[in-house]
Amino acid sequence: MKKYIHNPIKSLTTIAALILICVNSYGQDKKQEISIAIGGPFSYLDYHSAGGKVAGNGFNAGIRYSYYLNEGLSIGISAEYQTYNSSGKFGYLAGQYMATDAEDENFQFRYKASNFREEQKLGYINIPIQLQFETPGTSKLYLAGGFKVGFAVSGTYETRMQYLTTSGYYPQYNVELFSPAFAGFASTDNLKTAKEDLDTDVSYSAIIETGLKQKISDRNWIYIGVYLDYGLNNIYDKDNTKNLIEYHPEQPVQLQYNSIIETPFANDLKLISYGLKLRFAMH
Amino acid sequence: MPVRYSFTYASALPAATVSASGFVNLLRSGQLEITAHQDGDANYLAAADVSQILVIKNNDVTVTSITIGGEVFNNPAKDITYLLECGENNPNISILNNTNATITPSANFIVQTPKPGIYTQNVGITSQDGSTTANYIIRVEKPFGFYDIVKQKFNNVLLVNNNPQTNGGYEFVAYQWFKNGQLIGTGQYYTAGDDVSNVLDPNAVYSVKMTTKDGSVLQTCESVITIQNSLTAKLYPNPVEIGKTLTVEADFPAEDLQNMQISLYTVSGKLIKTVQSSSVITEIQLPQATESNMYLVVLESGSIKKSFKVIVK
Repeated sequence: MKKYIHNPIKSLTTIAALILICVNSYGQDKKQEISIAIGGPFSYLDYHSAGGKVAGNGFNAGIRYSYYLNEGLSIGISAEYQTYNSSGKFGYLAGQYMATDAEDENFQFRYKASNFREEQKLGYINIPIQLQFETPGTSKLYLAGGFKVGFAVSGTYETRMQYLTTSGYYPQYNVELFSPAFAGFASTDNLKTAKEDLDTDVSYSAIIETGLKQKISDRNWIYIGVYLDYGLNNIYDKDNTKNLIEYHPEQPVQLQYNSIIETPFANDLKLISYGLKLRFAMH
Repeated sequence: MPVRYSFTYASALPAATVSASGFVNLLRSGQLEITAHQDGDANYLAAADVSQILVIKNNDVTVTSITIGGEVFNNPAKDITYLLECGENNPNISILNNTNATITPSANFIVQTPKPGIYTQNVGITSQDGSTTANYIIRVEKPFGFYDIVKQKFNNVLLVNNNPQTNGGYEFVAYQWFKNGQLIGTGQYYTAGDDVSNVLDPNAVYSVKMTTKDGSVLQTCESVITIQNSLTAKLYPNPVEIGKTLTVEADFPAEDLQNMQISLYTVSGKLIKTVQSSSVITEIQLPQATESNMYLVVLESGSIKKSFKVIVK
């Protein structure tokens, strides 16, 4: 999916503009409502981790079409783009596993990292479906709830380590090599990895939103509310048994830095977002 | 009547001399027979001769020399160490004493040296008269064959095998590495450097001294290093992005690296560029544009020719 949606915000804006034009031409159909909304700022990846986790910020922006079943009850479907941001933190992190070196000898690859911090950034296109109740009048209270399906359109992670030591332990010789660097054994200060892709799955969330709906002109309304989107499923349900730092004998000097999400260091990854939501609506 | 003395002996040299007046001058160990004579005169007959055997024993424990293998230690110290030559085994030990002392275990014996290590033999010297003893400690050190205990890796690392299960039962706690007799490191392994071009010196001799858990210092024979080229080449990254740098790593012997030529072709066989290189790592700048989504990279160097496909994205 990622490959086809290069700029989700641009796409959404285009779609929003088209729908607004269409609705305006439809005239005074009070049974329908088109709205655009932005929300945030708390939007992060929640996961279980042996280390610490810092919930980051994100935003959502989208467009909704609502159909009024009666004056106080409507059903809506939206398309929104949402970003999620989190950091995984470990004061100290270590691992080891058996590998084979370029000379075809078995050894145990070991790594130790201090002040490890990995920042994850995800972008999702969400399709929320919700029911909305609202009170009569020009100043209304509203309550909306439902669920949404989210499709990953982007995902990256980037890692920093204050100190990383990689070494090779050869049990057959009872020796641990901390060098040479070209063989993948080295100590590095203030390491920053390149930005890597993080592929996550479809997310299903329960959503709830409540607040005030205020009429501002004959056809236009403004919503001011609070919302909570709570992820229900693990969005990294793949094999998370990768090693955090991967040794490749054909090119040992270039270690592969995997995301903690892909390793046993973190699991049960869910998307959570809450905060304020502002909506501009047209009947 | 006066008494006079005479003496007789069976050995080549007398153990002592006895003057006529009876003064005995001890010269060496051995035995002699001293006879007392009392001659008669006009009034008396001569008395019958009386003889007595005199045994002289030595208290000297001097060891003149100790010979171990081919080396002679003259006037040896009480504690001597002999380092076996590489390949030498089970040296013969001879202890030379000229004073008839008793040597334990014996004046000639063999020290069995089945594996590298230090073999200690105590030698006791007891003087002929039993009054004096001396003790000598003879240490025979059998060195390791260099590659019996050292493993070479990546043409860059020399490491000491410290696994008792695979090294013959040794447990080392300290190390000293030598290159041409100069100390170059004190770790369990020595590395020539962090870069792939830092290889061990094939023109030098290396050795290592190892201290065992019980404090003995063992050493290896000196050895030259043979650089092993895998004769392989690597290209990375693959796939590579247009306009980026492609790295070629050729693990060829130095003589083959001379005048190495790296050529890039398109899939249709059109030559894009040729680079001359004589180093292990060569970086090739790819052109900014290409109609090909794959390059053929050909390495030619002496007798070696290798070709690779690189995907361009």
